Amino acid sequence: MNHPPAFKLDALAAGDQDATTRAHLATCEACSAYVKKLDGEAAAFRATSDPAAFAEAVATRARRPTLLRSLGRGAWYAAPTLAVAAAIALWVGRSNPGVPGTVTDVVGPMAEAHLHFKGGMSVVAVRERGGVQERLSGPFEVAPNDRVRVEVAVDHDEPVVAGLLSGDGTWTPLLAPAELTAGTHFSELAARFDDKPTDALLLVGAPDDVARARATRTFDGIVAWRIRSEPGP
Amino acid sequence: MGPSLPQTDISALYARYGFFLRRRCRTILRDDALADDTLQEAFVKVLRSDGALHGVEEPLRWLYRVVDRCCFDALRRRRRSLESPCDEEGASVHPGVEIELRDAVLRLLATLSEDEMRIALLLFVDGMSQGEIAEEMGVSRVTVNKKIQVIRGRAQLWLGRAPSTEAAS
Repeated sequence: MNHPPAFKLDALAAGDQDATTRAHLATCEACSAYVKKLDGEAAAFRATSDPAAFAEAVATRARRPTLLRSLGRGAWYAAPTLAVAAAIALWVGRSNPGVPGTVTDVVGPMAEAHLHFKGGMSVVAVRERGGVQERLSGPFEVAPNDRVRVEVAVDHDEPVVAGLLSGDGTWTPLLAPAELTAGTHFSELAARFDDKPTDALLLVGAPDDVARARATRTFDGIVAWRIRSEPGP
Repeated sequence: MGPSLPQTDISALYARYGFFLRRRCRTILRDDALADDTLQEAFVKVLRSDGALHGVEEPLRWLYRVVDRCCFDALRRRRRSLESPCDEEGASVHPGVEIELRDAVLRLLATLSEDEMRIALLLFVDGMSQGEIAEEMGVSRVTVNKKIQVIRGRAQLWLGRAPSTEAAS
């Protein structure tokens, strides 16, 4: 016998009205027993729970500022100069099935073609050179001793990972896989380039998509910016 | 079908569905403290959803999806050992689900991808059919079937059985 999905049976036990599922119970002993047991357990729960206190706890929690939950000790996210810097954000698409992605030096047109606000996120790279920070919204160059981190803004809760992929496949994480709440988040780590920086890619996106990109070198659905080493003097 | 409730009235939602949502958190996370914390987090999302629940025909189904996502996040942050005891002894289980396989899948949940986790829950906790799962997730039934075979195979290995190639119902 086919049984209704659990959420329908559970809803019935919660007190919702559903004539179709109710009719099924009349013919199915197993489902009827399941609902009856849940009904009793739910009643016992209601007798001891305090919905008003729970709602207050939720409201208190909701008033907390939005922060990345997994900020590390080494974060340099709170630099005052960043707080007042104007955001130069580029909205990029998160998916474009069937269109192989490429790494481009000119991100604008590619991003526009992929524009998909529903899954949109905004990425800014912050390059620190000689104590001066610069916000970058596309591919950029690095010089010896530069430090780079990212700032990611999402318009809804979603998991994101960010890091640098070098030509030999080395992965330098900037933002460990984490569920970002809607808002702006700063990477907990900064990558510092040594005295002979090599070219790399900045990858930002959903953990599965980034993992796929690292493995296949196809970059559809994620942010992929080329980072070039500046020519020496 | 759905009840008439002020949709951001957390107190009323909790009074009606709190038991079921907490039970689901416990099923997925197998940790009471983590379940309670995650349930609060889920209601924060409901509160911030600005009335998204308004007009939803099946509120509990919608709330389950919110709770599921929060639980997946919690699992990612704190991967539970496969040896963690299951805290839901005596819990009601959907009549269409094989209990032993369900328990094995729940133990393996933290090792699955998000899509696999969703499918595992819809199949082994909600008792949904492949067609219903495909519709729920917006993917083809073939895709769902392939992932189910992977999940089922891993669960059977966990149980010490030889993986079968039977199609899940």
